[in-house]
Amino acid sequence: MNRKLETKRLLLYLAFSFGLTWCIFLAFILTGHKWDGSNPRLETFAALGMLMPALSHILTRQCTKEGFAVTGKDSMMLGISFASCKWFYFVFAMVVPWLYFEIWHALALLVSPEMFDPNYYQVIGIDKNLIWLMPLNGIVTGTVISFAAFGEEFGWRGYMMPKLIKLFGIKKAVFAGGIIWGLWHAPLTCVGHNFGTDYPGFPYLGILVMCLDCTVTGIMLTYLTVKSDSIWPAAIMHAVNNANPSILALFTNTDKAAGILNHSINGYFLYFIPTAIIAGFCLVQLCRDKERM
Amino acid sequence: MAGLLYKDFVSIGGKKLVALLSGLTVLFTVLRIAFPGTTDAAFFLVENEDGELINVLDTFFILGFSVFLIFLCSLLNGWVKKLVEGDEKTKIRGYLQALPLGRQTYIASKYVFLFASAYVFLSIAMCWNIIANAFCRKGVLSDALTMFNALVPSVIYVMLLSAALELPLFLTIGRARAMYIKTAIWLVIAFVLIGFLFFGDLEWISQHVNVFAFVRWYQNHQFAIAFVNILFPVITLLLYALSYRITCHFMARAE
Repeated sequence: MNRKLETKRLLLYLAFSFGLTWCIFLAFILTGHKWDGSNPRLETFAALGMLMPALSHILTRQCTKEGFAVTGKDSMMLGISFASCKWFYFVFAMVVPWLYFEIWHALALLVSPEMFDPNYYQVIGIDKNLIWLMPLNGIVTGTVISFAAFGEEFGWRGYMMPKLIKLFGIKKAVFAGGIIWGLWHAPLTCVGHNFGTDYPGFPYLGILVMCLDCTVTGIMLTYLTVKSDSIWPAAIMHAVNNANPSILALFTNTDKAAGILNHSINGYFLYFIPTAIIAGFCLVQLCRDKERM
Repeated sequence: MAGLLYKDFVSIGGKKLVALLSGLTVLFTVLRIAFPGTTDAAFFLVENEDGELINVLDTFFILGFSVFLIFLCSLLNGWVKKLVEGDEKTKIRGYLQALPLGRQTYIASKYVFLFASAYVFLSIAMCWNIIANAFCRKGVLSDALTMFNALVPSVIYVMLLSAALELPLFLTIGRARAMYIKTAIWLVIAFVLIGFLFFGDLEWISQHVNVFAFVRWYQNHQFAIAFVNILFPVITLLLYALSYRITCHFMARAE
């Protein structure tokens, strides 16, 4: 492996990815908008920046003449195979986000029981009959409309992670990848994306927590990509994760949070309990496979 | 399989199509940002029957989005014929027979190609919807676009179901005979529609079928919409897989 060449390719990809996405994010911010839910349709438009890592992947391959192989070594990993029990990773991608979201909300309700609101689903406009279908809704809708998540995964897991793994090995790669991915979100974190703006240490703590979130989630997504030789399970998991498939979320009114959960960002530390356990399992599996190879 | 998919991509003029769709998407984005419906210029504002102010620019963009969606559906609808047509040429057939591929791989490649196309088209249509809606004046038209957002996947899945019906026909009995059957079915549908236009209750349609009534219906049937959105993709995929099995079965018998 030519380390210098691989490093140059990686840096070119990162320049494209950060440059293109931050142009969109900064246009959103510099026109006076904040990520506070006041204009959800424009926020969704700005979220199309998620497609930029995919575009950057294509542009980088075009510039570096690496080719556009769909499957195999150094490919874009677009193939799908269910052979050798690889279907398991698709099931993992669909079900695991639902599990950790339920555990997260259960932990939040245990720590701050005053958040439990039996009528909260009505406040957010969910039909009573739909409550039990919400996880399935998140899984199906997330899988069907996964293009935005695919946009990110095609770039991060399809190009950046294989390069990082080649350069630094699996352990260092997942942490470096998580930090890069977290920093990529920084402009939006600074205008309230995910954590709002009302928390101590704003926006630095938010950026730090985002890096942590991206590292933990990134480990799971890398695990799926490496084990299935495809970015599709990662794209599905990312999409289902963004769809927030949880029943308990419909009874958790975060506006009533008190004690240590009175800032929305603090609730995220509870999110890391289930996700870190799953990510730890995934990292161990990845390292074992690497040793066997 | 990847080679077969690339062959199909070439046979439908894939590179030109990618350029066309990318160009149209960029153009639509630039125009939407340049002419947002959120401007309060009185020249563009009209009042609808409910007394609500509507920006005419928004209606143009919704119309553009609808035409684009119809264009995507017509592309997908025409591809079954085009994919089989290419393979029926003597040179291509000879080339395919020389490849170390099974019958099932060949059939699967057609199904995978159309499924992948449907996913790409659905994604592009959703992007257009998001772009159109982001700069739309808040009101009945933005509600209509939100409704489209929920209905677009169903439209694309109907096209996929149509492909699931057509593929067994085209692959097992050949393009020429399949086209006769397809034309006959469309003629029957056309005659039924013409019959309805002559003898049906058109007054009821003019009163009840319009975008405002549709938005109201959509808002009052959230459970049904969500239920269909969950079940429809699952059922479509199952029928699509069943169609593949049926095609494999009949092609094996034909040989």
